[in-house]
Amino acid sequence: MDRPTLVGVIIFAYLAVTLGIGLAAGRRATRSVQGFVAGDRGFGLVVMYFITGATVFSAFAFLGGPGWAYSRGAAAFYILTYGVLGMAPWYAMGPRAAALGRRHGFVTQAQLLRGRFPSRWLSLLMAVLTVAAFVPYVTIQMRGAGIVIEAVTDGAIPLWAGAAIAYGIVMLYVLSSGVAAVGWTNTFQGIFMVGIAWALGIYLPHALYGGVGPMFERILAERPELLTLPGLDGSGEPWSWGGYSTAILVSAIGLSMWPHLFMKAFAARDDATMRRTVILFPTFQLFLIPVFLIGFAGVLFPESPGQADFILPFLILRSDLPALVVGLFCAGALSASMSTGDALLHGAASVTVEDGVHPFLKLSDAAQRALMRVLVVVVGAVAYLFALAEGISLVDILLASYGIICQFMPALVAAMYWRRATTAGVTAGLLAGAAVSVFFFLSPELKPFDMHEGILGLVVHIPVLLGVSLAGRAQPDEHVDDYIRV
Amino acid sequence: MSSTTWRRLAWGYHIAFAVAVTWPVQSLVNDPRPFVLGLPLQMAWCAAWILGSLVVLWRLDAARNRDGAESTATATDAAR
Repeated sequence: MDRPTLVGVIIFAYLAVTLGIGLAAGRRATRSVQGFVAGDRGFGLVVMYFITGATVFSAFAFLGGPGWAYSRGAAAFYILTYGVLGMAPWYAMGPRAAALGRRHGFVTQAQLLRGRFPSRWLSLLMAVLTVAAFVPYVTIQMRGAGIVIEAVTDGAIPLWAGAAIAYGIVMLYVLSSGVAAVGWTNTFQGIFMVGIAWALGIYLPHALYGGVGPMFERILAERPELLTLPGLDGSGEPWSWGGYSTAILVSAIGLSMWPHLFMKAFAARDDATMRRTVILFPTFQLFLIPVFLIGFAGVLFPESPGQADFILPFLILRSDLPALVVGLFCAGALSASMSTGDALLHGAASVTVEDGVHPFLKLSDAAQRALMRVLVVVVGAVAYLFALAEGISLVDILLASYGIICQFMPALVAAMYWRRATTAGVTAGLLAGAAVSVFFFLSPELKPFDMHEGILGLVVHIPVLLGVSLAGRAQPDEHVDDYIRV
Repeated sequence: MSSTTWRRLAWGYHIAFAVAVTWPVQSLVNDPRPFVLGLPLQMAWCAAWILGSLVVLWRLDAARNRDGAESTATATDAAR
């Protein structure tokens, strides 16, 4: 069998196994909204561990991570640090959210918020912001899948077709099995992804430079600016400390607030499972080290790819690796893309129905499930159209998504921990924070110290939430007790 | 140590982590040498804080489980 055919066979075998696992998982879940959205609250440690790890590690980590290390050097270390900082608060917050979920039947983040702060409009606002942050994130995953397939098949399968094939399969298993499929496919994809990353991260520096230490010695001698923090910005100039530090903070806060992570908390079997998932998360985070090593391995490579995000497939194809390894790499990168994309598609559809439609229009359980399925297709189609558009900077869009999502933090912390918070305070804070965030996103030249717009949004958001809440009448004690004393 | 002490320690550790990897502390740890296991010092610095998080949270969980087991045993003794 010739090389391209063998690579193709491996990729299709991988996709077939993923599809099989996804479809088989659905047979175990009940046909209710709770089964579709929260997996009947039955995920054990292994599935929770991989669901969390594989959901957080997306095409951005697998392609963008090496791309950043390659083109921006030490700037990429921000990606290494924020994950654990974002996940650690879940040790306390996760079991509390899950307990509230079990007590009140919540399956989404906004339901938790609407339970404490009864307002349909607040729920709708959360749904709109969530979908606004999800669509670009799904777009990144689809482009990632398309990039990998196009690069490895040498353009025989173009980006549009590659993205369509990979996401056609994601659609099939999400539509038929809901979150149960996401859980079991992520377990499979997570194992695959970590194995491939470590193998290549150690192999490439050895093959090209004779080891990791010798590789950094040479980079330090020839490109020392890449090994000095805060690294370089997108145009190759030194990045600012304000930009670097606030990118870590906004990403950590945003990560801890992603609506799909809340949904997974509602899907955990028990609190001990969730706590252990958080404890083990740093082991997943360290998987970024080999991913960065791959990017650094490209720095002194004689040729360079057209775009930094292509560095991983570019090196793989030029380092005379056997076709089997190229095929497996491609499957690993597809895992990273699909395991995040499936959770996001499922999350966006669930949030739209549960938080955007349900508070205004009572629907039967069957009708809700049907509408969620339609929306999986609609959100997928919108993201696909964006994925085909050329010239969009995906890393910038991801950071902008984090700016929106991190505005959920004050509201959710207040819902679970602050007795004096009021509906008006939370709504005003959310609107003010989102408005400031969008303003600075559109006028980046006005940002003080090059700080991330999400952090600037929080600087306004938190005082507004505190001020408006304290100026209004407190909520009745018995209602507040229900949320604070868990 | 009790689980309450470990909980405070865990909060303190992660706040210190956030301070250690952002400006101005990180700007003081900004020389790639000496390499640690072949990695530049700043990268090893980040990795060390990540591993520390694993240890702190693991010890917190162990202390929580121990305290939980003790309070269950006390309750069982009292019931007898």
